[in-house]
Amino acid sequence: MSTATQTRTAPALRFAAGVLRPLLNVIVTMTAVIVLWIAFLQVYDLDPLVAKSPVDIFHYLFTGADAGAHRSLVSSGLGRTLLDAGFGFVAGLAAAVGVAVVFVLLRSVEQALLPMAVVVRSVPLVAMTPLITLIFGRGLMATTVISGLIVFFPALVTMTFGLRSASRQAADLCRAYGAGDWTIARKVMLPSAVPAFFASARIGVPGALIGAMLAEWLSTGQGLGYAMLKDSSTFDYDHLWASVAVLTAVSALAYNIIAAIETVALARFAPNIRPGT
Amino acid sequence: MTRSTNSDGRAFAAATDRRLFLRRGLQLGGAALLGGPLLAACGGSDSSSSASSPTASGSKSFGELTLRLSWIKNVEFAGSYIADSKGYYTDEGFSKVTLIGGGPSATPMETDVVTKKALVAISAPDITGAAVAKGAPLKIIGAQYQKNPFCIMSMAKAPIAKPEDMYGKKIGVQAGNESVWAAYIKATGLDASKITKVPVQFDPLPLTQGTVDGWFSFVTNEPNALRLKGFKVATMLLADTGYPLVSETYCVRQDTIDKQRDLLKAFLRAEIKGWKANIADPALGAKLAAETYGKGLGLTTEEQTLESKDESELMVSADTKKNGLFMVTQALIDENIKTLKYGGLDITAAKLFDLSILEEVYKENPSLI
Repeated sequence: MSTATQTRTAPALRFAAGVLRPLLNVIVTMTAVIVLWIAFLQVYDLDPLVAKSPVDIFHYLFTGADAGAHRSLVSSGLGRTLLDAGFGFVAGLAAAVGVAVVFVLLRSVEQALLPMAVVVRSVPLVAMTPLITLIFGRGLMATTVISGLIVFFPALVTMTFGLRSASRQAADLCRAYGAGDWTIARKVMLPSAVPAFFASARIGVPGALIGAMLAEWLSTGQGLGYAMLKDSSTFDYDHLWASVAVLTAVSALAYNIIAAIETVALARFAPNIRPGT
Repeated sequence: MTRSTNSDGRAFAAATDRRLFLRRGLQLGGAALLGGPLLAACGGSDSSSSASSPTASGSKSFGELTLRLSWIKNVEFAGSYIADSKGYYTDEGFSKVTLIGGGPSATPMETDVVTKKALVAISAPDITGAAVAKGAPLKIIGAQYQKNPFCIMSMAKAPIAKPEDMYGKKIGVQAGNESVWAAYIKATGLDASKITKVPVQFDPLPLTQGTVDGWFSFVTNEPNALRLKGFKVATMLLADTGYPLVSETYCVRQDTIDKQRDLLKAFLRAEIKGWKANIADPALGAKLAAETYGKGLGLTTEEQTLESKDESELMVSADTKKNGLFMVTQALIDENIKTLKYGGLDITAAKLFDLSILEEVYKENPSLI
């Protein structure tokens, strides 16, 4: 009896811990950022007109005059940036999974295309953005491509590795029962690449945001990426620092949300896939 | 292949140019020798003050001066290059002058002055005004350009000659110039919804390729660059279509005005002398920009000379002929304040401009006018 309840409560506990721990992480991360922020201002003795403190930003966003207007300004920019980053994130990850599967199934394709991918990745995106703008215009397509490219490459490498790490015995067993390459990829490789997928997703979050802002700065002229550039020429350092703070918080939150989903997903997938390890 | 021959050609041109420069320099030197007594004779009152002030300031020694420029080191700052290379700054008591270049990705000028990285910056009233409105303790003590240098450049075969021509067209505007653009739209009463604004950087390639129809830029810079490449372009000055705003203004901290007035006066005297020399010979500053100060930026003396001439037109007006370079009349200040209000900047003239230092300079040295 006692063992039965134990087995029933254990996953529930694990689930709760998996969801709560990332939330706790967000709080810890943000506290650390704020402490570093204050220390940085103290050590470098920066001019308060240019270097804003967390208190200034709180005042700007919540307690000061026009706080409501400031909040709506920051949040409208953030909404745009999150939309741009979201499309890039999804597109980049999906492309990485697709290409990784092709790479694993067809070695010759990998040998032919991987060097090309590395070359493309070696060109600084700042330099490539005008070209991308020329091809894809100045809309959502351009931001998706730029932001997606940043997500794509690390995800591709991690996913290829994840797919390769699938159990050889399981693959052999499937083959013995007459399964083709595609079935093995679907039934054996993809499930065992779930941890790799979540690792790439977590790494991809800040990358997607950076890519979205780069695209906004150089191409579309919308969102926080462009607003922050404009701030420095209009001496609006309150808005600049507030944007950085909000973006950091959102990035940390998104990272940890994915971490929470990961814990839940791995609790379901990981033990079933590789019982031995 | 073409590239290497091209650079060879350029090196050759530079070498011949340098030789030419030496010869011209000698000629100029001769002219200066001849003109020396004449100039001294002209400025009767100056000869006494200039005889006393160098010794006075020489003994004072203001130390090093840092001047933050509003753009890359091109001919836009010709007067400062001349003042530096001819020793006008050192004559006034500065041990050394550091010119800090700007550019599309540099820290804003006002930030450098507020954080004391530079003592003086060259900026514009709209940018300085925005900083002052946010509480920065800054003032404008003089303006190089009496006319606003911004223009809408277009290809000559589809010219934009008046503001309404922009309706239904795509205009490339840089992020740093957004505030000027927004103020211009309001000042001229244009309907912004009928114009497509496109974010661009500073290379006017999109205009020549037709992805935009108009290009926001300094009339001195990109139009001349494109003309020398063989493109036919048209320009429409904002200043000629209802946008009176001085530019390339000297921006300093209020406490510099309060505590180091003599230093600022010495600085302004050196700048006036430098700019007068450039207006007299626009090629002088162009050579310094292309071959010395802006070396490595790929500037050519030919293109820089064109810019230099355009600059003189923006700097010299009937008023400056009467009151001296950099001076802004009260009437023009009032127009400026009105223009700034269109851009959403409500600021009084007294909070933004302080031309009393420049007034004193000209009162003490009337020959500088």
